[in-house]
Amino acid sequence: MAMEKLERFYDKSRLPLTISKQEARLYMTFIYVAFISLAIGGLMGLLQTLVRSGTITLPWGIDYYQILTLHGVILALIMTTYFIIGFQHALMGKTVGMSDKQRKTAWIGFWVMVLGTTFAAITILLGRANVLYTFYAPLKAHPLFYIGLALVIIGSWIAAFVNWHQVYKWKKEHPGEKTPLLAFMVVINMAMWFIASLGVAVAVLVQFIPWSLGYAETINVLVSRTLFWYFGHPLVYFWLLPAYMAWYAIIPKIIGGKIFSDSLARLAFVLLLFFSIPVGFHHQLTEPGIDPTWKFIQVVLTFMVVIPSLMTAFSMFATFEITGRKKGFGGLFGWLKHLPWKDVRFLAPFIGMLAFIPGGAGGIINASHQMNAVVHNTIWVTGHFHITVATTVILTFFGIAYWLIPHLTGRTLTPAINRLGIIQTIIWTVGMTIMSGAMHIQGLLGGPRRSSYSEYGGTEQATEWIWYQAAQAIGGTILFIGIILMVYIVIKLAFFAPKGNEEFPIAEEEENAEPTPKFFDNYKLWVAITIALILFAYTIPFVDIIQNSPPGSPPFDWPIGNS
Amino acid sequence: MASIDEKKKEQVTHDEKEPDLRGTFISVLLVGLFIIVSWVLVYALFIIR
Repeated sequence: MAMEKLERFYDKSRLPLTISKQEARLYMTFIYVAFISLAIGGLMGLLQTLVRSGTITLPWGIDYYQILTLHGVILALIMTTYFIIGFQHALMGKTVGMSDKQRKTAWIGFWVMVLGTTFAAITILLGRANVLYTFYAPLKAHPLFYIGLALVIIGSWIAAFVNWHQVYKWKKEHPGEKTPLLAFMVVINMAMWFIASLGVAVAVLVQFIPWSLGYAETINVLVSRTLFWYFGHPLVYFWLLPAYMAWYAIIPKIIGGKIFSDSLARLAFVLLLFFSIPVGFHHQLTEPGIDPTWKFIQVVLTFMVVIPSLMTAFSMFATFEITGRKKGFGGLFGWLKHLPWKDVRFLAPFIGMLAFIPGGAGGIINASHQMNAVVHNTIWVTGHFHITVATTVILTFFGIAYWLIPHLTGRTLTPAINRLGIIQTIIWTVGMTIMSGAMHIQGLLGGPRRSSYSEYGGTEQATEWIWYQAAQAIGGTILFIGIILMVYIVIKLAFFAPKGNEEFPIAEEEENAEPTPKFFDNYKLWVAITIALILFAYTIPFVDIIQNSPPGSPPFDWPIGNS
Repeated sequence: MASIDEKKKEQVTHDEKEPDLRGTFISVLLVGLFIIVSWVLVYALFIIR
């Protein structure tokens, strides 16, 4: 019986599905917004490094914190969210299908997000929301900035509801079958996103909007920061999990192999759902007002995330090795030779995987409780998230774009574009190694993050930093060249590449793979355990924070903020 | 209770040769070593400062 079902599941005539033109338009629209955001955000990043190295001063009264806010918001919140939703919608359309009604609802989600993005963009461009992407209180932005962010989140929830409904409908039509792996992963990622973004939604709706409108005189800063980081840490996993989707279920197909283990991949996603949310305190380790015992408990929970991360590393190496050995490459590392190094669909995500080794190691250091004092608020942290999200995640997203965009636009990835993509990947790797490397070292020497250019009164320690800031400007310039090249590649793939049928690579399991246990499809259980862990990790310290808070703060909209 | 099909499948799977994953084993050990060395270096900074 089980075997029959498994065979039905792998009936190649049913999977993968064909994406209609209307669907393709929806998915591509998300992708377009993502790459327009990349171009704008990348330019802001370049300007930042040039200001911080003392190379330029900004003209026309533009404030450093204005471009810093734009860089953070447009790349960390806008670019990523649009790309992820576009990619996930495409995965769902390909594996479980998208009905006309679902597609129309997804469009509503898109337009709600666009409305929110426009509100936030206007306030930032007018210099009325220089509060950085973390929008820490008591810095106060224009109310429209917070309303805009809330709308972006609500739009993304609509996407989540569409994805869940797609799986619900598919399961009704395929009783007893397991959810296709990629659809399962999307459901888990959107469940995590929804549960996590409830925190920031509460902060924005209950605290920031009334306070910025003047209805509330003060704001509870500690509560707002705690709610932000309840959301802020899973936010990084919301970026990372779509990269994992490509690593687990797409890369094996590109290299001519099979999925190492369907069950292992699902277990990794479930563990990431459990342990990505009840851990926000590790961003607040120097925050007064949180009981150290609860900080310690959340540090322990943070370290649990190491398990699915290392499971992923093991799974990737195993996929490469098994595929290489099947192709006849022997020796301890002979299998490395079989990997398609000249295929950008593989090379870009592979370098992303490599970057996650120092990225993960840095993350463990950041979260190591007392040791966090060495790096807290230094530019090491900026280096850390540039090597994780801006390398691991972004290079994987670029790797996806090389086949997803031509697949959706009915074009092909030509050898010439592939070659350009390889050059782009190398430029990105060199630029980021220089920039992120310099950030890490400067951070260990005490260089602060977030701050604009300063000579710090000529102190000796600050003179050590300037060379690293110059290196960041060099790295940033190289990265900006990489962004220009990537935007050119995207335009070429979307509008000018030869017409054709580019493959949507979805890997399959080994013929003799052990069946995936049915309990993985018990989504209610996974969500219940997640909520239980959140309640355990947050209830007592949160009540303590509310009961013993210092007085609330009036808004500060000067010298940065809303002025 | 597992069906007969599942039992058969289990039998078949166990009879097969395990994949050779020596390279993977060494690779994950190297990743672990990198993490430990990085951590210890920053820990040393924490202690001496």
